[in-house]
Amino acid sequence: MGEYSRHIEHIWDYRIGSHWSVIIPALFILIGIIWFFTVYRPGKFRFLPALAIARVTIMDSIGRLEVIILLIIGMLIVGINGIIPNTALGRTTLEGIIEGIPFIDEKLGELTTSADVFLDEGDIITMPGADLTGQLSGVEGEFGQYSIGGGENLPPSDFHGQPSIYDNDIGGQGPAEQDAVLTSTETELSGEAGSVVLPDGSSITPEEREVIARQKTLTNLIWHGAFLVADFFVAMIGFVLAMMVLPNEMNRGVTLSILPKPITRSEYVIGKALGIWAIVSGCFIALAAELYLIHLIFLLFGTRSPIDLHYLEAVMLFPVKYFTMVIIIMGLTLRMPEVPAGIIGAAIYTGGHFAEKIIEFTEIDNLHWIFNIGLKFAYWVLPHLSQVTVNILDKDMTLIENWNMRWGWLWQIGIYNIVFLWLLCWLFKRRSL
Amino acid sequence: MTVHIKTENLTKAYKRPDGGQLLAVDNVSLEVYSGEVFAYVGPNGAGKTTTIKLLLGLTWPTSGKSEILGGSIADREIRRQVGFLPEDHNYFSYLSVESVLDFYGRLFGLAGTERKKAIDRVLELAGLLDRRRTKVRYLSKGLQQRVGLAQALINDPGVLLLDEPASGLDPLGQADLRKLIQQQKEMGKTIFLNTHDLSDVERIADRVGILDNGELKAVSQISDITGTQEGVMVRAEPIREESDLAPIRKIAVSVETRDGFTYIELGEEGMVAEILPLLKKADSKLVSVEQKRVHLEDFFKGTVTSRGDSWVGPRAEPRDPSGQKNKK
Repeated sequence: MGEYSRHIEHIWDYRIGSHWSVIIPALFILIGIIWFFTVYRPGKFRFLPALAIARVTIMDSIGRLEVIILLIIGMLIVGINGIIPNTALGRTTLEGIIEGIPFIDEKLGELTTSADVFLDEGDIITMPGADLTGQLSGVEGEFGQYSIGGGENLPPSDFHGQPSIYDNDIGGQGPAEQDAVLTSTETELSGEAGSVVLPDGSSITPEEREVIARQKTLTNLIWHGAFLVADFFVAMIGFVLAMMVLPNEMNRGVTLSILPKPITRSEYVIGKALGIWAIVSGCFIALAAELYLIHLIFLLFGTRSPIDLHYLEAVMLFPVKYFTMVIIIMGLTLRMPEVPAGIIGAAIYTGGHFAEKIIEFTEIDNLHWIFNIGLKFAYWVLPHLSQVTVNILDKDMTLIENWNMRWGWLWQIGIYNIVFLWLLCWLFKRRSL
Repeated sequence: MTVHIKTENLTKAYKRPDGGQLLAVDNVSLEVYSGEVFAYVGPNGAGKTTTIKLLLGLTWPTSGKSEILGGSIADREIRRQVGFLPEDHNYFSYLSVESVLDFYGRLFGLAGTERKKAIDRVLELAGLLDRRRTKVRYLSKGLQQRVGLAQALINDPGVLLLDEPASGLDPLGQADLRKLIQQQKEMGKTIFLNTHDLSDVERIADRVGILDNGELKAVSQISDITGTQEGVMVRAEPIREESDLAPIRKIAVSVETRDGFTYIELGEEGMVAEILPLLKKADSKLVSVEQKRVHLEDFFKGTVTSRGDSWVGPRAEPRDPSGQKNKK
């Protein structure tokens, strides 16, 4: 029982109890409460027609076969991705498969040859307490301890660990104060940001280290891949729904029965966008929750779980970019058939993830001024969706230089979303039915 | 009488691929009074639905203006008093009938209890009480049309615009529809009825407007059009032999055999007695004798020059506004 308590305490203190993990679900619960009181209790609270449109859009869409199929496939793949790296059988099987495919095997080898796998530029790590050393040294086949050679004193509040490093903290202790002094450099892992040394008594050999490095790389890839899969399937659901919703309702005459009612066109189209967004976000949260659950189960039973909780928290904010995607595609369907709208929308959505790279091309020497202006135009027009990826973790990434706001990315995406939403409303207002 | 629906020189032109303009609605001015059933008839493609869309702000006029209940349809308060059944509509197919009506009730801001009462009321009016939990996708076209009627009535509107309401309804459904429109009329509602069914118009409408190629050709009281005439129409079992028909032709205005009956038009009612022995001789029996009257269909045929979207013959091209008639 004591063991379980220790695990639960550990999970809450470190693995869950960070601000985003609490804020994001709380935000969705708050939205749900507002929803309930405005839509289900219109007699007591002011009725918002856009919410009624969003509600009926959700109710009508969740029964659709294409949505259900995509969600089920996504959940299966995400689930498999979540379970495999946490089980010895899964890891062994996967290793066997990868060894049978030379190309992938070679690529994985390339990724695991450097200690950078464990220690990336900008990583900040803390050292486990001295008492932890004894506990960890008994964990066979795992790293027992690590530290940064010549590291500075780092206050605990600055801790922003990366999983590839911190999940060595097997045993359930949170970040301990840095108090160790290196006594041995028997094994050293070098990286750009510093070097990690293994202490006296560690049974890790360079060969074992290589095996572990490979496993860690693989599991990280799978975990990140799981979110990529989730992101892909959710984006697919979003594409399908956003492409179809307005043309479908206009062609089938649904809008003709709605718009003569006491509702404005803007309310209608905003309600539609909110409805689709809520479905897409709901699907993503379902997939993320599935991974979260797998993660918690494995943690509870003391199994190593390589997932980066900060990454998980970051992807919880992905719905912000789905809203951008939904309104862009919906707007395009008002000017062109569904398929071209979907293709162009997909291009904008994808391009949005690389918007910040575009500006780098303007610095190429002897670039023609037309291309320079074109690239700058594309940079500003494309929504900066790369902000809503794990880059969220980088508080210095803001649209406006030196605007050092933790939530700067939210302002940026918010502004893009407001502009695109306004365009969507404007286009729909001009539309003759 | 208060004017509930009004258009002034309402015109809607669309661009044609050749650069010209197609007048879907051409300078239409009309008034519909409170409590009347106004039938808006015309061939397919005459511009009836476009007129309704203009009235409801679903599309915008090229020129002219329209009003409902003395104001603009853009006014949310006016919309609260308007009900509309579109043509060829669909509803949220994955929802139940009750959920669909619940949604429309919410759009009108009806609170919980009020909304439930409204749903029960319109379900009964539309004959859908036993289908309330059925998903719309499982309903036949006729039943979906009833759902459309129900949603149009959910707010108990003062002005009701119905675009081809009998579409998809079987004869019983059509009879129910006539009854429903009659009920609404008795309740003092103003009804703008856009339809092809001239027999229905004759039975339930007070006035009719005939639209042809976007142009309002005539607006008249139904009673003024369909008045009785001198003479009677005798309907008898079919007479095939020309030798039997010859003596009848001598005294009748016209004789015609169609639809399994022989129709004999007589100049006056008293001549029926002369016909009876001739029918007996021809081994035919009298089926009915009716006062001769002008039907709306006759008036319609005489008014409309185009053939709409009929498959019989080529369709008349809508007039170009740059032609003889001045464009507003």
